[in-house]
Amino acid sequence: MQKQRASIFNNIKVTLQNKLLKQKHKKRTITLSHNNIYILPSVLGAFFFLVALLNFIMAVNYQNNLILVMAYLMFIVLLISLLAGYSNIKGLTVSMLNTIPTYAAQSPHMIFNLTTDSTCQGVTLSYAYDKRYNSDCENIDEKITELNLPLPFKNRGFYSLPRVKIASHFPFGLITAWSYIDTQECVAIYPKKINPFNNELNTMQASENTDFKNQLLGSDDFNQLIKHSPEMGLQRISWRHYAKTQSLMAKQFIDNESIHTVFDFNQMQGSSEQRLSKLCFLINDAYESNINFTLKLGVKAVCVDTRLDEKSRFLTMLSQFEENV
Amino acid sequence: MSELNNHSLINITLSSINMCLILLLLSFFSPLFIIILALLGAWNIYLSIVNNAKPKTRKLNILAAISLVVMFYSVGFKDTVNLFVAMLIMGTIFKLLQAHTKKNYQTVTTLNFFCLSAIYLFDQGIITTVIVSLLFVLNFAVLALIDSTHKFKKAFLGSIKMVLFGLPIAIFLLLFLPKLPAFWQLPSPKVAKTGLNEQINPFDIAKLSNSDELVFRAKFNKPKPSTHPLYWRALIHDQFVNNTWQTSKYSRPYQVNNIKKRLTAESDYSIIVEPNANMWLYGLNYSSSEHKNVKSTFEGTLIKRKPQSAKFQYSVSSAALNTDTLSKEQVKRYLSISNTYNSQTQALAHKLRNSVGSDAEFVSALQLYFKDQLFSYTLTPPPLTGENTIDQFMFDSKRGFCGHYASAAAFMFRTAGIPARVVSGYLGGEYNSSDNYYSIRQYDAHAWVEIYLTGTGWQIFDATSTVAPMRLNGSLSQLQQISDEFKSNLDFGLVSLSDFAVINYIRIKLENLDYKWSSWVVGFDKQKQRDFLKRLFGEKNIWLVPLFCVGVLCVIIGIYFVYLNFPVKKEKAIGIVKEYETLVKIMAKKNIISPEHYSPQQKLSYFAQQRPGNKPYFEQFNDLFVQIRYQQQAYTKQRKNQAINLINLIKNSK
Repeated sequence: MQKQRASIFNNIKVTLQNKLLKQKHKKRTITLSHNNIYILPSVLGAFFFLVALLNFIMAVNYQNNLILVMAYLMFIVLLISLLAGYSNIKGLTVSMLNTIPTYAAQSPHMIFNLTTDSTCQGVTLSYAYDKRYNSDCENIDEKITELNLPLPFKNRGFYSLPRVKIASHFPFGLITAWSYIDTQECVAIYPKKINPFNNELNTMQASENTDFKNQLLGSDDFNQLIKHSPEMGLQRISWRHYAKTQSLMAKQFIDNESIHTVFDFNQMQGSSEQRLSKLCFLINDAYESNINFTLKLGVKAVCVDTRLDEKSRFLTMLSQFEENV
Repeated sequence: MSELNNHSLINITLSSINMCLILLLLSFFSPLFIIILALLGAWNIYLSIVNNAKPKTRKLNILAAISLVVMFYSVGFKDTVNLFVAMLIMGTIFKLLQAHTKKNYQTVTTLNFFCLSAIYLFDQGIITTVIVSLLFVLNFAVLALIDSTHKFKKAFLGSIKMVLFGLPIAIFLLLFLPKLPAFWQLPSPKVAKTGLNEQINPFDIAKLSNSDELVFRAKFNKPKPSTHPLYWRALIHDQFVNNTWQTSKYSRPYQVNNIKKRLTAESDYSIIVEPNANMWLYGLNYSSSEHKNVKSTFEGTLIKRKPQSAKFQYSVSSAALNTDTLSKEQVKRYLSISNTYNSQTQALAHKLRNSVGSDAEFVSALQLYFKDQLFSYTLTPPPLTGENTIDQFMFDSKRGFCGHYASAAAFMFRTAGIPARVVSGYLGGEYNSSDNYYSIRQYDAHAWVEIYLTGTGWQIFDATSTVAPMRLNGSLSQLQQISDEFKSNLDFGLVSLSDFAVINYIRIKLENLDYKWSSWVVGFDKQKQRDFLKRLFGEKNIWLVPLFCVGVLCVIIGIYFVYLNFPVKKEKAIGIVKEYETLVKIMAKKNIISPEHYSPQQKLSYFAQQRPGNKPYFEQFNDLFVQIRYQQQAYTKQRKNQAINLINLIKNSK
């Protein structure tokens, strides 16, 4: 019930913010100035104001000048903090450098560059709707400071980058001076890598063997153990096997360059997510082993030449995949 | 900053602030409660020093429950303000003991701002103000520390800067913003006890001479009033029961109606009363006051209209004592002696009265009796016990202080059929000629008799004038006759060390400063503000004050805003450029001038060609230049020194 209420409240907040915030925040780079900085007392500031008010009431009721001066001083410090907070954050330039996609169960990151003409203290970047995801920096000056902001996404998918809140509580934490940067870009979370069962892979390879597979002996990747013969030389002996069985066996390797295989979503076993995870593993493996492959996702089939480094594009395809499409 | 830094430093600083608060409240709470607070504070500091974890919530809850019981037991429920402050400070200390998150520490720091203000309910002296102000700055420094990774020094200096900027504006607001009346009536804390009591037993008053605590100050509008002794009346004791002079229901402060009587004032003055919880106030002879919180009684004494424990100032007009004829009821009241003891004194009174022709002559006869019988003044009289204490004093010991004489004399007057009452208050005071005011301290407490003589009305009879005439003028501290006795009785303090000229000089200077503080800062009330604003703006333009306040505030804030946002002048040369320009100048002096259109790197290479002996230096300088200007590497102190060394090598080579 409480969660539902929080979610309703969050939805209202998001809708309101979307309506109120104008286009000025939809940039990859934003320089904070009077027309995009918002400033209000923080929760601590509100509590501080309340204590100042209590002091004021106490001073008036007891006609006590010293308490009155303290109350006035507290009000003034709060006022000065608003000005100092604005001045602190003004001129700060925040640029989104890039995003770091991840595999499911890990959070992707956004990377920002921050710089300012003078000095800016205590800046925090946070995901606008969940402040647990934040990254802060004590001091920013003319030199570029890089901040890495984790995002609250864990599941496979292709997510629009959220609005990021740029905030500072300087000085004393009594105020919040903030702005937003809305890059309007997306970040992918690839499927989690799952090593497919060997038999599944073998079956798949066998089914496609007539068309593509042309396996040659080579030296790139380990394939199987064969009986050792003297002309093979000592370097190919599997000493681990010898230690266990006292019989001499030699390692046989495959030359991968000549392999071209097909990774077909429909040929995989398990649920859609499991299939995608297995495909993800295979694609990564293929890139590592330099194997050319064709990726078949439903009706789509893409032939991939691993020499063209487009791994992220294919992994993104997996993250964007929807079965009914 | 989402995470808390400087955890230990913040904890120790907050605990230290709490310990200082406890010290400031030392004399206002019971030792048991203070010890508990101090132990909790010390425990917290210890935990930070040894880097131990904070106690668990259950343990703290049990401790809090025990402390609460001790607090209720030692502070009680009668004084709600004391109870409130005690709870506030104890709550803050417990919250600090439990604090481990940033939010917890912020809560404690904010609560401290309220605790610090609460100290001023008890004491508004200069020293307290200085300490509280420092703690106020320290508290801001803690706020800054919580929200940053700053070092303590930086946070503290930042706080001082902020407070110093804000303080003049706060003082400006205090002076100019119209003072509001109290929103509602609040109970006052029961603070400093005045030495007077509604009941006079002669043995009580000697204790007053132990204290040099200031009771009030009296500032005369005209030069020093006269050489007459200053009898500051406070309480009238009109009932004699069991050898004790008591305040009857007719004279108790809370039962007296405000009497507005036209007076032909003999003197006008104002009195600044130190904080106390009593209702009675002080005035000379028959006093009346127009202050809204002061009632003038029929007997010519002054009382507070509502409890006010804080320091406050009121103006007084004084005239001669009442000459109105007493009613039968009053005569009966002022002649009543409800015991049959002290028969010897009664007999003496009758004998003396019969030996003279009138009441007035009886007064002189009694004075003469005290003189002839060699009565003496002392602060350490022999103890008198039993039911005939007045007899013992009059016929055996013959030594005593004001209480003994007043008690015995009033008893004799009543026996002789002369209406009499004992009045307690203060006598004299220390005169400060530079500012024309008297300081009246606890050791100046005095008791005397007022007698009613038909035709002349009420008049003062003070047997002390016979036994120690010097006591009538000035303060008890200035009485040579009992100087040693007085000082040995006095608590250790500046007055007790006043024989040393330097200390006495400092004491008088501090006294003056405190007077000015009391008069101008603490005593700056609505009336004073109105007078001040009238002088500044004139009667007609007083309505301009709020506008003036808002205007000045806007201007100050505006100037500050402009100052904050004024573009910072950039350094002329960034990084290594300055050193590069120096090098170019040095080469020019050596008559090696590179073509104008060359880039810095081309120029350096040109110089190297011209001075092959220095080629390695130019190459190293070039490397540095590229690293800093083009590869965005930091211009560290080390790199700067390297650049300067290379320049020097080139400069000094032939």
